Amino acid sequence: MSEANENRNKLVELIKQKATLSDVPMLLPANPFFDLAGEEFGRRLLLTNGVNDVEYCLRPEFTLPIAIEFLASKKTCANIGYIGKIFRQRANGPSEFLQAGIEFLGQENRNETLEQMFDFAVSATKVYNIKPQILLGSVEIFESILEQINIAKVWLPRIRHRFGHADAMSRLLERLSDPHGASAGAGGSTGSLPWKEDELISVISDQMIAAGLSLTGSRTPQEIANRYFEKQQLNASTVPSEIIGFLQNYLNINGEANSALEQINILANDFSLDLQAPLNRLLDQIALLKNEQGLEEILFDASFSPALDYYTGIVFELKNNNETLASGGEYNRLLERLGAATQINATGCSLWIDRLEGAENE
Amino acid sequence: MSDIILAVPSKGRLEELSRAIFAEAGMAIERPGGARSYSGNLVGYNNISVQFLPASEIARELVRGSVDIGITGIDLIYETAENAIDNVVLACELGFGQADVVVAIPDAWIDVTNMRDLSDVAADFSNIHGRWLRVATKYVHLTRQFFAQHQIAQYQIVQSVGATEAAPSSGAADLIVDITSTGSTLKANGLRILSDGIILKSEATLIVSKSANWTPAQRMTIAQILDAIGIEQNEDE
Repeated sequence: MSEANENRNKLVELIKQKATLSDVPMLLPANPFFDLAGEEFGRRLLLTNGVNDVEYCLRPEFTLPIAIEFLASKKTCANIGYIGKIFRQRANGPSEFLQAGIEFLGQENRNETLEQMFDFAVSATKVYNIKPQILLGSVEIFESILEQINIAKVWLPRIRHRFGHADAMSRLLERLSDPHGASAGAGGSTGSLPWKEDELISVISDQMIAAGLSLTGSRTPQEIANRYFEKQQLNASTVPSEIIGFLQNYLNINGEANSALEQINILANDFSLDLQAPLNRLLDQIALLKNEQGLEEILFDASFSPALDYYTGIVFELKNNNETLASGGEYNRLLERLGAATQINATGCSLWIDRLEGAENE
Repeated sequence: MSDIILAVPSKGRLEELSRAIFAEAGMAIERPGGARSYSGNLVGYNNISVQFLPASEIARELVRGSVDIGITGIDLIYETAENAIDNVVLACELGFGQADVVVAIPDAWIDVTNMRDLSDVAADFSNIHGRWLRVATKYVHLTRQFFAQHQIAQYQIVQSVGATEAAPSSGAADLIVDITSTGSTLKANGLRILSDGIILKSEATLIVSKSANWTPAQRMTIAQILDAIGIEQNEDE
């Protein structure tokens, strides 16, 4: 048996210790991926059309099909593992990768589950004699900051949506601090618009009806009027520069985990924000990574997050020489997004086996 | 065997104007079989064969390298594949067939004037409606690139083959990305182009394939054509 096969068998054993191996088909309906992750992810799918005009894709990842199957099974909790090829479009043509991983779904104790997930990821790197770096991020700290800072509510979802898109976030923050950058005035060829809300709504409604648009199928007249008035107000008042500065400072925190969290603590105290609960959670996990897993390089980057808004808690990547070997985290919003009545705890991690094999130490 | 394949649009004004360009350059294009025939020749150039093809097929064949040189719209090159533009050289814009690929929204969206507004609307949309903002278009690659430039990620493309401008009123999509020359079709459908919503200014262009593997003799023939049309060439192209 070749060494690569032997190591893969060890990975399968690791997965089986914590989960049941699933058998996700290689060919999957494409729509759920577009619905969940939009065009940015969709452009990377390898697509094909069935004779019934349903669009299919080669499996681009495991988490979504596993989550969909879990919901259909009506179980309250399950630990599901996987190993197999995934397929994605890249700049120089389509590529296939070997991936393995685990999803813990519906487990009640979040901390214990995350600890188990770290144990799985670090054990996997040990199979290849790699001592990885771990990069941590926290969606829950950022969301807790947004809940507490004093900023017009309309901006909150827009700021949240850009978390994990560093470039988009810095542009948005620049724009919020610049009153002249806001786009003033009304679009449309209607001429001058009434100032009273009900009159404005009726002008918009008339225009929509004339153009044959449904008043309920897309943006509604009320919604358009609300944002129109909101824009007028926002043009008159900008976000205070100290708040923009606070967010920028926070997002720039990046380095050794304990000292990064200390910086966050100081920043939070200066702004009278209470971030104790998510900070303590992270501190506990860092201590475990050090003492139980024996990791030496533990980093925290405040701006680090997968750019998908169903992630909720702590997120992480294991790295070796700047290459990501494993990535995962807590995504309690995914199952709700797929139709569950409430949020359901979920923690996952996937391993890039080709990279692990490439980085293997003798 | 003929050496070089030149493709020109097979019908309408594009065909007329394309043939006129070559005629003025002293290279009359003959179409012996008339409008139903798909092959022709350049008078006096036995080593060049002419194919009459729909403009979108010309774009595809140029990108693949099965046509060496041709006239088509730049928008169609972009739409062939994500990196298709890397496979061709745009030799010369020909001054006809002008049209813009644009982002157009319902005129009733009085709160939206530019792409920045649209990025806010897209970010809010899924929270309010439980689905993504939908953009109808046949320009999938151009739309993805342009929306990514404007940092809009929360949207979904609805592929449309014809009559894209009807998608908002039929409920298939919330806004569109489409090609327009005068804007009158958009206007008639109650749609408005965003102030910074011009994705691409396209026109009929003489385009050379990079994918073709030419012999020195073929290379000279291409140079001859470009020269006759009056295009200066870099030695290294």
